[in-house]
Amino acid sequence: MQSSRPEILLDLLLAGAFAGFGLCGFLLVNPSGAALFEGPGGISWRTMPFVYSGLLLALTAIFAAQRLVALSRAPLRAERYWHGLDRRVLARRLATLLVLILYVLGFGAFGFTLATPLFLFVMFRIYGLRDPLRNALRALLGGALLWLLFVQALKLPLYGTLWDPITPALFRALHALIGF
Amino acid sequence: MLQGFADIATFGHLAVLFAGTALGILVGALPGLSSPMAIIVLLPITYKMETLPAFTLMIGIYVGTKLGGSFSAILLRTPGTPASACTALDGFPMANRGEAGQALGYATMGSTAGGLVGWIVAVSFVPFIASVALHSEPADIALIGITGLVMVSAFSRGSMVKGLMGVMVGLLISSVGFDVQDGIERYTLGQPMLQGGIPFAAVLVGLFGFTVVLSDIDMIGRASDLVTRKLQLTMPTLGDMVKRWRAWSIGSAYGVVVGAVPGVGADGSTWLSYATVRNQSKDPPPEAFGTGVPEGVLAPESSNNATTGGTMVPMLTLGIPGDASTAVMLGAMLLHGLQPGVTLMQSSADIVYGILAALLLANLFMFGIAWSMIRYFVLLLQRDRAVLFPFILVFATLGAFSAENDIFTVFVAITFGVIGFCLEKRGFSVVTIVLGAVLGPIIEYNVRLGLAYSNGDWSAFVSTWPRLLLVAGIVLLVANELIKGVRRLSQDDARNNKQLKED
Repeated sequence: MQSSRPEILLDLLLAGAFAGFGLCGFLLVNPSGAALFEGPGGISWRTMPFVYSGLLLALTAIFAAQRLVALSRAPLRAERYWHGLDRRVLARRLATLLVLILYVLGFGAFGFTLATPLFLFVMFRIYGLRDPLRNALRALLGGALLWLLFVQALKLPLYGTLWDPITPALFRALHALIGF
Repeated sequence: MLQGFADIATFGHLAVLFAGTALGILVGALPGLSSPMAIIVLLPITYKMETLPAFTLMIGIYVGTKLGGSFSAILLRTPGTPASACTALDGFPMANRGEAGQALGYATMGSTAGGLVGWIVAVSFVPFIASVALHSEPADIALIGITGLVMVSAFSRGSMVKGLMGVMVGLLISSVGFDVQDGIERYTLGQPMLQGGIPFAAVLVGLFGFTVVLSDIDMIGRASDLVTRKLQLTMPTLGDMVKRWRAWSIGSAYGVVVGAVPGVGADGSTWLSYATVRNQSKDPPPEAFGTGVPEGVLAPESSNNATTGGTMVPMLTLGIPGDASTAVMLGAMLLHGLQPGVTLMQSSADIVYGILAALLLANLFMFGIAWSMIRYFVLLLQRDRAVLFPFILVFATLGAFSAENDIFTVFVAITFGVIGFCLEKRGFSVVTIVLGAVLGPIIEYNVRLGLAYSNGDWSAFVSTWPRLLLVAGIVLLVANELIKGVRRLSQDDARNNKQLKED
């Protein structure tokens, strides 16, 4: 199936990213300018990364050339492509990323115990579950089960570094309840 | 092999295998979720386990997902996994005319038969190939690794150029950190966090966990209408299976062979086996396929599960994965301190035989679980992803975090999730990146060691017949892709000229 122009332009954008990655392979191989000690066969610590970067650049050039040829032959169906994009899905993707980053920062600062039910609650809402009571119940139950599995059973150090009043309280409550 | 069975014949190991298989069936049944994703999601749990039970769990998931995918293919006409898409061709029409129980029965029997054939092949070939591979020298190992990467690129989704680009990115990722031979920092940007390399768990979690959720967000809220809710699994009799021996034996043969080819996996083998069985069939005639014949379910399902045995051969003997799930398992081997490759059989024979024993038992468990609990799995088919995805995100986050107990790894995973999403959307296969990252250190180490052995003589890489064959294989695969590219261009030209004339 032939690609439309916007799709090919996205491919070319991706090719640009690959080319940037390949160039970084040459430019950032060593931050302190370490000396070269050529081993047997003239190979050193930077030979293989340079080979990979060079091949990546060459392949990217082939890929870009293929897409440019395709661009010259592509039908003008731009509007169909952009109309095909579901804005709600796009918004959900962006919201997922944003909330995920906040969650990771949140559980680092305030602990898994507090951050996880909140994260689950917000994500349920973002994914279209509208009943706040049921969402809260799901988030609390899910959060509790995950806490039992990861913090209590698997002993992952998921405590907040900034302010985490719940984790120690939960440990004390559990200790009082079942004695461990 | 008997030692392998003895090793896993404890209540704990069997319980883990059973749970993994049941989870695999469930994950496979839910469209959009896959075996590599399930294995990744369980990484934080497997870290805390010993090596053998951890891999037992992964094998259970791997085998279970193969069957689970057929449930939704038959009952929803939406394959749970790409490899099950073919099953929908005849499975759904059978379900539509009130034979859902029979269709699921044939799927279960076909999967079990294929899995058993795959296991027999794996058990027969793994020790043999491993013993041959043990005599290999560093130059051989480096060439085997490079051949694997080229094969994965050639057979992966999209073009070979895309596959090789993914491989190069993976190889560059594997170069980050201290060079083990010279002790010099590469691509660390002066950051101490990168001196040990990019956390491999973060790469896996990102590419197979976050990427999947980001890609499948569009599945949220889609209604799943089961063709029937009154389900009674009807297993075919032994006579039915004997009568249709061609379907499941051809399917199994394709599955084993194609599964052993790196990068192809079950997706290709199911269609190949279906087409072969249909074209060679006299009773039912080829025209009947697609209208709901049991052979159309048996062939792809047996093929699908037979790949589990096929993929084990290159994974356990050469360190080259057959599909995405085995690529993740290879990564998990590194995380558990194992060195995948030709020396695995020598250094960790107990693990290899334990994995093979688990493969057989997982197939038997799969049969038992499907027989007794299929109704409950089917009920879960209708669950909305809106509830599931937030939990997967939490599991994936913890999978990345628990690798080094550091939030930095989670951000690395999220970055790779976004990269994987962009690449998947543009037709790149993320498996190639993972493979490059897994095989990169092995290739570099052995290239340099091979050159040291030969006093810097590069011709050492073509100095024996096996090495020449490997190099010839690489050249042939690349040449084939070049020829295909030129043909495609000339076909496009012809099509365009025709279009211009018509205009």
